[in-house]
Amino acid sequence: MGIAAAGLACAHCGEPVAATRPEGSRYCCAGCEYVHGLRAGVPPRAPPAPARTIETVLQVEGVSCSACVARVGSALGAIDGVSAAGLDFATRRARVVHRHDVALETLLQALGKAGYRAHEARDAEAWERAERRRSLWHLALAGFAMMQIMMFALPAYVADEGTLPWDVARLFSLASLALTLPVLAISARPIFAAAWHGVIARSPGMDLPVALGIIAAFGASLPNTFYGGDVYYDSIAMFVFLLLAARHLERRALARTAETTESLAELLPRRARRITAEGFDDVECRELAVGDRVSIGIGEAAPADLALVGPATHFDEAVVTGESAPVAKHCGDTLLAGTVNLTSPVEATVIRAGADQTLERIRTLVERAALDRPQWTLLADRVARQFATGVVVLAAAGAIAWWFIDPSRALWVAVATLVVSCPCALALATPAAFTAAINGLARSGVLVTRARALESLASITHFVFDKTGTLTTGRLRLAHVATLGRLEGDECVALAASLESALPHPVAHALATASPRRVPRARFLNAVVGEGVEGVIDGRRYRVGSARFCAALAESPVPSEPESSSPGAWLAAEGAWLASFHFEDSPRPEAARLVERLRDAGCEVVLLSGDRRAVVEPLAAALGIRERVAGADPRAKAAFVARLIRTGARVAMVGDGVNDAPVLAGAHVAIAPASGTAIAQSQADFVLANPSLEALADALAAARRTRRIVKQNLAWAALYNAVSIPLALAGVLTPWIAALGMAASSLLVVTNALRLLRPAS
Amino acid sequence: MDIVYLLVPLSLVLVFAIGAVLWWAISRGQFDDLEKQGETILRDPDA
Repeated sequence: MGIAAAGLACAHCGEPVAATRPEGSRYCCAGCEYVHGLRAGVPPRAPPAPARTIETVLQVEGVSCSACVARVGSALGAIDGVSAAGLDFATRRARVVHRHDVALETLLQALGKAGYRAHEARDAEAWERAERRRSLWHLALAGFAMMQIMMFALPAYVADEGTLPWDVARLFSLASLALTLPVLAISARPIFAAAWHGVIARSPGMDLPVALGIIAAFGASLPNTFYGGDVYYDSIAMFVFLLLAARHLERRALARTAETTESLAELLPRRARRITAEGFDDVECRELAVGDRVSIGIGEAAPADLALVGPATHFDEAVVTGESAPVAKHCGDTLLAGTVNLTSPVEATVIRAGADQTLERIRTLVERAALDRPQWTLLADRVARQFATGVVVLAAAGAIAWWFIDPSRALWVAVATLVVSCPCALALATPAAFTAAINGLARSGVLVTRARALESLASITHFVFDKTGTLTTGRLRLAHVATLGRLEGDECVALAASLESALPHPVAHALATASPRRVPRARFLNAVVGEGVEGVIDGRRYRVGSARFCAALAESPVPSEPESSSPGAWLAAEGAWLASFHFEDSPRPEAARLVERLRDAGCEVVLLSGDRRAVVEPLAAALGIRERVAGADPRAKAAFVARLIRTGARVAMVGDGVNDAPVLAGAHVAIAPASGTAIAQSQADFVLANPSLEALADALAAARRTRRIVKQNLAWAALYNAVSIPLALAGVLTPWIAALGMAASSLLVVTNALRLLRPAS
Repeated sequence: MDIVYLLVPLSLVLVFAIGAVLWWAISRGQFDDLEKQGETILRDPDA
């Protein structure tokens, strides 16, 4: 009989740990220690210090181009007590990290001064709707007025010289003016407002050249309306309409990327059935607290992160992991919020509710990633900001030059130049692509926690797996049976399986699956904690377990056995040794394919393991990993990564040991394959919520696609502006062609970026 | 040609009237969801 050490439970299976185990052991047996070592997720981090800083999410209105992103960021960042602020262009949401004593009003006032209206994101839905209606109204008004003004302008175009009476021409001009005024006052007001605020903030966006173009055309038309001469109201209305139409479509397209994160929240049911002493209690989900018991019917989603009480069922976890195959759930298993119960009605206990639950954490991670501004975006922003000023200067220079060549065309050239330039394609090119890629990846179960990492991932040359366990199932498999007595190996396995059948041990599981035939029934089973099991089969006493435990029954010393790497177990009968078993971990089924895909993508795969050589070698060989390092401690791992980087490699670390700070800090990108519950604690740049490792290869492909599309977008924007601005300056483009070209260009960039929302084929 | 002095202002009045109706329709949410109404016919009456 082993003596259980007071109060110490096995870290893997929960059985008490016997005092006979080595000093300081947290496991009841070698099998548990091994398996736990493989499967250990990221150790829980210490709870954060009491909140000194808080985070507020604001919905910002009036954001028209990405120059605004920088402006909003600096307006918020200038407030005393704000430590970080960023605006997501796609969702128009600003995330502000600030001291808890900074009032919401202070934030809103600062934004108001910069020219933006904002409100807390909580009532975002009503705001979003109002904004959508306003945008539609502005667009519809401009379009309707444009058509009507065109009718009034037509006589002036078709009439022969001198056939249109002076007063009739004035009548048409006046009517056009009457229709242009509402377009300018209502539809174009956001453009003027944005341009004005840009000038005040000394960082003019794309609205400035546009506004100047409109004003110039209007200013030239106004006197001619009364005193005779050409009017350009039709061009003004058409330009405003085209610009608004492009922005409207852009908005709708970008809203689609935002929908992905929004829809995550909608996966949560609104109400839950809480079980009380009297029966069921229908409550709001947010009223649930840790420890509450809830009931979930078939087809219903878990209202919070739960621990299953019973009975066993299947859950569809696709929303969190991207994996569509149902997952079997047994008593005590974790049910993630938003996942759907498939087979039988169950009861469960709340273990995490509200903002702590996995789905909410995922949403926060994805939203935060969207606010992160990669290098490419920052560069594009800088260029775009100077671009606007440059265009105004160019247009002025063009007008002056044409004044000497042909004064009647000077105005047109200036207007066309102002209108045709499209810093917006330049500034939209990268953020749209990143937002789309991050949301597309989140859908397939890869969470990007920093957008910057997506940029780095595209250029990774070495994938380093920092743990054997990442590539294996973490389930023991019977590898080898050495018979020591008269019995056949099969019989030994059956005997051992029979003895172990009642135990929830990884070793027992491995024996049961390996057992070749019906196991004989064992009686008088007696599990000795930390040592093994004793039982009687067909009148004979057997023991399975540690060498020492079995030796007591075999009444002879342990037969010498070559030192083996993997955990083993022994089987003995009264007075005789029977067999020793060796177990090993098996590689995950998709691991070989992952290695192959990474290598096809031109990346080296390295296995950098702390495990013994005998464990690492066969695994690496089975998966075709050429470069492997065994027995590396954290310092050796860090040194290895540092050496790789010195040779010019760009390194991604994959492993749940991402808390190894030195290794993590050394690598360019840290990737954690995670069970749903570990997501919350992870500090990695990427978290694979998808249980399949192949998601990693998908992420690499997506990162490269993003890089390609960003390059395409930037190239297009550069080419478009390089061609169109000289054409406009040369007087070839009329303003309406310029307007059309500009609108089409920014739409092209956005739709190109949206291709990233689709999973790779 | 004198008729244009009547027709042009008249068309302006008409344009503003239609604009007002459009504004009313948009602000009442007529364009918020263009699919839902068409789909309701396919749903069960109680759902």
